[in-house]
Amino acid sequence: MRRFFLTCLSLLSVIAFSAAQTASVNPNTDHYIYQGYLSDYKLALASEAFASIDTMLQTYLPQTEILLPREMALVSLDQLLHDTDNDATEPFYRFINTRMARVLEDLDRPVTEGLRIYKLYNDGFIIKSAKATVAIDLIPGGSNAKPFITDSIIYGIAGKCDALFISHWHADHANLNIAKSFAARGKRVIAPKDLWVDVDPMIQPLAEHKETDIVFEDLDLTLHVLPGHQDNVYNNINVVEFHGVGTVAQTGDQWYCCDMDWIDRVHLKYDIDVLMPNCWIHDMERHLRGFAPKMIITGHENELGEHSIDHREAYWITIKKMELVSALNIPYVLMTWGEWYDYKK
Amino acid sequence: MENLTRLSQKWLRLSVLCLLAIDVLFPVVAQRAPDYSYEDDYIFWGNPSAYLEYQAKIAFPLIDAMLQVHPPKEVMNQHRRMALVTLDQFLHETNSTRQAALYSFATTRMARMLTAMDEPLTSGVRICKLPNSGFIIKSPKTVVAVDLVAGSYAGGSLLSDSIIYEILFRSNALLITNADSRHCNSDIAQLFTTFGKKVIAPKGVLKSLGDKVMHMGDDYVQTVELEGMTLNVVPGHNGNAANNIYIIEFTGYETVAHTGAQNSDADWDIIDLIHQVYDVDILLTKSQSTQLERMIAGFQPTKVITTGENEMENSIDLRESYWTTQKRMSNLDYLHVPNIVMTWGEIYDYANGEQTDISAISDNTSSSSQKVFKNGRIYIRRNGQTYTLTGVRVK
Repeated sequence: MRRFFLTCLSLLSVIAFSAAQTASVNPNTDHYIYQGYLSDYKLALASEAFASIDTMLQTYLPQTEILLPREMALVSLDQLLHDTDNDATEPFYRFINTRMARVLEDLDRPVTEGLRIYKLYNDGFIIKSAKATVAIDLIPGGSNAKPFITDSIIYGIAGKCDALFISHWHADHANLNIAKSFAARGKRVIAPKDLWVDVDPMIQPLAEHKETDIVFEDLDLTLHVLPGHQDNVYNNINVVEFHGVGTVAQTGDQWYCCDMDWIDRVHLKYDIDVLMPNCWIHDMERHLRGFAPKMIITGHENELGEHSIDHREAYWITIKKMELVSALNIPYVLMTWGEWYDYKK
Repeated sequence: MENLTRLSQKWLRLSVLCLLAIDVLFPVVAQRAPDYSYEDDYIFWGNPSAYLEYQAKIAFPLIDAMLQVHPPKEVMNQHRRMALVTLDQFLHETNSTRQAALYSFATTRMARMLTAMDEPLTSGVRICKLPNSGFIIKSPKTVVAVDLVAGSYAGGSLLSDSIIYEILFRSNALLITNADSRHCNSDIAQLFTTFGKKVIAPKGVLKSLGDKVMHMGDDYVQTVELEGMTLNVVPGHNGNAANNIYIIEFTGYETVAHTGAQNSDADWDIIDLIHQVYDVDILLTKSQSTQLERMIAGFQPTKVITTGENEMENSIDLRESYWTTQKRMSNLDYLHVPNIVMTWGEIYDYANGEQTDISAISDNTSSSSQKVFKNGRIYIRRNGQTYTLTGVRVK
């Protein structure tokens, strides 16, 4: 009996101590003193750093020449995003949503010439011409329970797009709820073979995994789907030809050596203006030679969630990788989430 | 039957050997070729530690470049803020694998600082910031080091022996505020005495050096005349431990005060009155205090330079950040005392109540290998790339 009481007492002490620890509030927050409050400190540091990075990135916008302050901001962001303590924290949510909210706002700004290319999380892009706005691999990120991008922002963005193209079924590229939101507004969703079959007439997986042309007369564009792979997974390489304006290609998670023979010849058939490869694509140089684009905008950097930090591809790694192919003399623009670049032929 | 048994045993042995071979060989096959470099493809999959190490190698030179382009000033621009908060991030990691990049960063900056420090000074004071609360303060007549320590990190030192020697050779005296190892190093103090330099420390500190050290600090303010300066020692405390507050009147030039690790409430009676006795130009003080306002009010300096940021010996929550210092000083804007947040290896020139042209010194006189003079213009070289001072990459 005595042992029982002692055990209960010990348990109660532990619970009470834990509760006190959890409930304790740093009395010196106003003085920015965090002694004994490590997690508070890290949150505050992240908050300060994200804000500083955001300010700098707004000052030094994406362009073909990366200025030192922008490079500094991107590397600083890499450091934050490679510290898993910052995953799913309030400063992170604030940072990404602030930036995506700017995209939502900017989508109302008309494009009169060329293409405006928005970079989203994760490998997502929106390309806007004077006549059409199309999204590729648009997802909210995070989990269903706690998405990175709030519903109001991500569905607001979706609501301003005319079509959605999906590269492959992986959750970091395809989100059924987003696709349904397009379908509900009578907008077409083009998905790879076998994805979301018979879900909605407006959600249209390819019948065969082969080179396919889909004309969107109302949007004055043609989607050329090239049958790529990520290992054994069907991976649509979406080549979007905005008639008379320009052509962009997004490679999804292309990673398959056996596609290289036809990729080598893509440039013979298509005049690609902007190529948006996954930043970790294997043999970047050969892909660039195959597509022969006039400009490159990489995607898929800093994929969070389940990715371990060694495969959260940093912006500085992209800089280094692009230096390795600099002999090709193809300009590239390094963008982060919530940025856009106006491309003119 | 016997043959069959022998055969099966042979096969079993062979199978085990094959399994062993696979077990041994597979990891070898999975590894990169011996001559592989991460610079071949920048793929770090499976090696997060190598990734972070490389990231530090990339980031520290960038931070350094940004800080060179945006040196310390009263009003901190967003570029410098960005660099410092990034530095805070890296200095609040605990992984020692990044030690090499940090050491290189610190050493490069110190070497550059020493070069800039040698530039002639005809008026005012030149203040050079070292790790922890360390400073070198130079006037046209003398040079004094305060709380010079090597700064430890992951078992190593931020400042190499050669840098300590270079500082020693340039200094006329060493002032030590208190016994804490973040402020005081007996080996360094002994070196100073060996080379005939004055060492001043609180009573009871560095006893082993005997009368080679001038022990000062009592119940009253003491004053001593040293080469090129009048040194006033205010007897402060860190908890119950002695902590000398030094008020250095550089003969014919400015007055600089250093508060060490002062934090005792018992000393406010003296500190509150300091401004009535001394005309302090620059106050060097820790910002990590809930009584910072009172400290500044007591000294009423023309400018404040904060100390003690990113002491690598401290746990992360105690390791004062540059950004927290900025925030804390912003809270005191209403005092209208300008403050300057400096990091290791930076210099601040001050004369007649104003900062003199620090950028002219750091940009035109440094012989650092990272600076390139071409066609009459200054460029920064890093990672094989050339940048203008405004950050434009030059092709």
